[in-house]
Amino acid sequence: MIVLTNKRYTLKCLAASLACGLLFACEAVTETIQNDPAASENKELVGKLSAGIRPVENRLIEGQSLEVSFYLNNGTDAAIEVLPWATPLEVNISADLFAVMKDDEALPYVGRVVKRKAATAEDYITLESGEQLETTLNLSQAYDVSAAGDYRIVLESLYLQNSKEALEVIIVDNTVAVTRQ
Amino acid sequence: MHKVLTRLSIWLLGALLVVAAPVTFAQQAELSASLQSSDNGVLFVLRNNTADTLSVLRWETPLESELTQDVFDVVSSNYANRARYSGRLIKRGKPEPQDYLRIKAGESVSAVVSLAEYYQIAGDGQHNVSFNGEFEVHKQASNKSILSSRTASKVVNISTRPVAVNLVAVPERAFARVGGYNSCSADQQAQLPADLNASEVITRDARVALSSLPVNERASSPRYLHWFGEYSAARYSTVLDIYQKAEQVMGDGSIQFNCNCDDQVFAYVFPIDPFKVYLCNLYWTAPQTGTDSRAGTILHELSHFPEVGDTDDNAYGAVSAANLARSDPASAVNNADSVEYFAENTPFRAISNGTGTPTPAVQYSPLQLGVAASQSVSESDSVYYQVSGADFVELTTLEGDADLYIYSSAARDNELCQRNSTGSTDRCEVASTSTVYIAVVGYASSRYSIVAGRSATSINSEVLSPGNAQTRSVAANQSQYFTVTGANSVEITSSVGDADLYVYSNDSRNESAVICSSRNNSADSVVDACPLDGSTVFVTVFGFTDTQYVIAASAPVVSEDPVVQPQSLPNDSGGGGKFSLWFAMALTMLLMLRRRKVMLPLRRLGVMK
Repeated sequence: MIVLTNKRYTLKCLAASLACGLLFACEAVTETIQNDPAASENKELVGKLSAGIRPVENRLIEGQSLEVSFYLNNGTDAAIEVLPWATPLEVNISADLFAVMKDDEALPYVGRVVKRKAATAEDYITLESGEQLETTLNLSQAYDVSAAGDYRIVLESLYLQNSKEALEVIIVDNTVAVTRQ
Repeated sequence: MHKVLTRLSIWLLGALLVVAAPVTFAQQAELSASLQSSDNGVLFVLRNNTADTLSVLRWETPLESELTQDVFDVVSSNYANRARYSGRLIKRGKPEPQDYLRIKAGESVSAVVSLAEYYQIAGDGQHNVSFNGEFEVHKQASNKSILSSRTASKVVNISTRPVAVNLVAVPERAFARVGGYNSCSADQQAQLPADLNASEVITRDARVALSSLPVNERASSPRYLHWFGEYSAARYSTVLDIYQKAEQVMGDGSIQFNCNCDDQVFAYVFPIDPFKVYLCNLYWTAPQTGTDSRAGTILHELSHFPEVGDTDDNAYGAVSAANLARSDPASAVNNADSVEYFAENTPFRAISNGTGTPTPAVQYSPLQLGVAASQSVSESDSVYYQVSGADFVELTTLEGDADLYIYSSAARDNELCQRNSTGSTDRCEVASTSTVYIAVVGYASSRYSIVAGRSATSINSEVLSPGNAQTRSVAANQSQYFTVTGANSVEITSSVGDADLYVYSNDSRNESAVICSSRNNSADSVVDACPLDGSTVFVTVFGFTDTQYVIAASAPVVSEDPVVQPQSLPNDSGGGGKFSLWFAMALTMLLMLRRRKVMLPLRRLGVMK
């Protein structure tokens, strides 16, 4: 599901699509921009970049995909740019982003790894001051979460970079628990 | 008890058989080999000299259809170049019966080996080729299978005399095989075997480059350092292992290409699902070789599999990969793009910076003795200097951390001194009077001041006046310095020990400025002397042992001794040239001091005006 609620992104994606004849850049990122009252009220996060994961559904039935919701909030007073490749900002998972445990046993990453070109300016996403990006990630792509059991998904670390350097991110909500019946 | 004894005797018998068999077997030269020149290679002949049938394992010998071991020595006829082995190295399991070759008593087997396909010939033409390899040999008396029969086996080393063979370089042989296709068009299926071959060639070249680089050159390999950063033996072998394993996978036909991908990326794999490689849009528009090529992409993808390298994507693109090498070598050797770019080697970087390999020209700025130069160097960069006649070089780091390296040659293959303290001053004593080459390397970005000079004791040059002999002593391996003006000779007479005399035309006192040296060492009281022409010269007395000596400079005789009769002397010095003039002068001076009575006849020769 792609939610584009910000004209700036819509235009940028369209421009990129027209210029390159590609749809990939647009499809890669699911963006929901909103103001998160909880995040903005937390004074420790003022001036910081923060991120976390939240459950989509805590109880799953057989055959249902295990999804988590990821957010990145820009609490700084400036716009930031960030490369979405191999991060949770990309809905098509291409890196071992999470520690996934089934009944306290670690599950290996079974997803893909991708060879890309060197990043160019249009590969970065801009996140305005005070804005938040959200993506919904289907973990069934990247971990074998098909069996019944208690799952725990942990965002242990998050490597984000702009065109020059790594970005400092505070992980606020780092664990999601899901039970599959 | 009886049972125990029986069991023991069986053990003993078994032990006897095991011990006895190799000993008797080793008495005769059971196998011998010879080489003959053949079309762009050799005919290898292996003869069984025993009275039994022998079985030999074909693996890693010329008896295999493909050469898989570096068992030939291929040297150009002038012995200038030894060809590098670029054939495959194969990881083996257990041999099957068909992997053995039977040779009957007294018979020979032969095989043609196209050497040019396995060795990188530097120049077409005559080469000397010899064989040196091992054979696993089984003595086989019955027709039973090797694997089930109880046979004596051993490994024998065999070598041959060299033969002259005419070799012409051939394009590198590719060994790669595609295992299968999924959703690939006919055009794609026509192209992919060539892509995989190209990938195998760059992978093998990378492996050969790394494995054949002498250990002492690895820490300075420009190609390795650029892509993988600071050298460590462990990281180097990690990288080498990745290429070896990738090469293996390319050769054994286990790669499956899947062309069902429409993403704007090159390719992807699921590392847990070997060896399926998904090729995407950017792959099909990439060149076959070079940076981010199809050949490199296949290697990149293979390196992700745990069976090959378990690499990650830590940086995207060549610039990021090179930066990663500088900032984080451990991540670089685990980065799929770094593995790829090292193999693609575009633009070309030499694996060795030693002599004989093309290396970027380094500009050495001359340093003036005693004059400090201030400069800055960025991290991982070097600034180069050269200086002659210095006996120390001192580097003062003003900011950051810079290290000092001194070499005896411009190729920097012979290091004289290395100082990499984190302190502010690094100092090297330089024993050589000839030119030395200096590298200041930024461990971090640094500002520094560098000065080369002669230490305080050596700068003290004593003025030696003609006719005014001085008694001195000099310790072994120490030097004393004098300047002399207006003399026509200088000499030292050692009363105890052995000292040598050097005369230089300038104060650098380096080798190119030597105008005379005298190193007599026969006994005490020996005289070393040099003729002079009256101009200012720089004299060094070097103590070969602890020495007491008298040094004296002689003023021109004409001012001392007016009894010269030039008009009466036969002039025979015209054709003798400068050498005989100097020689005669030296001899004269020598004799003048010690045996004054022969002076007159010499003076008649007309050499002393």
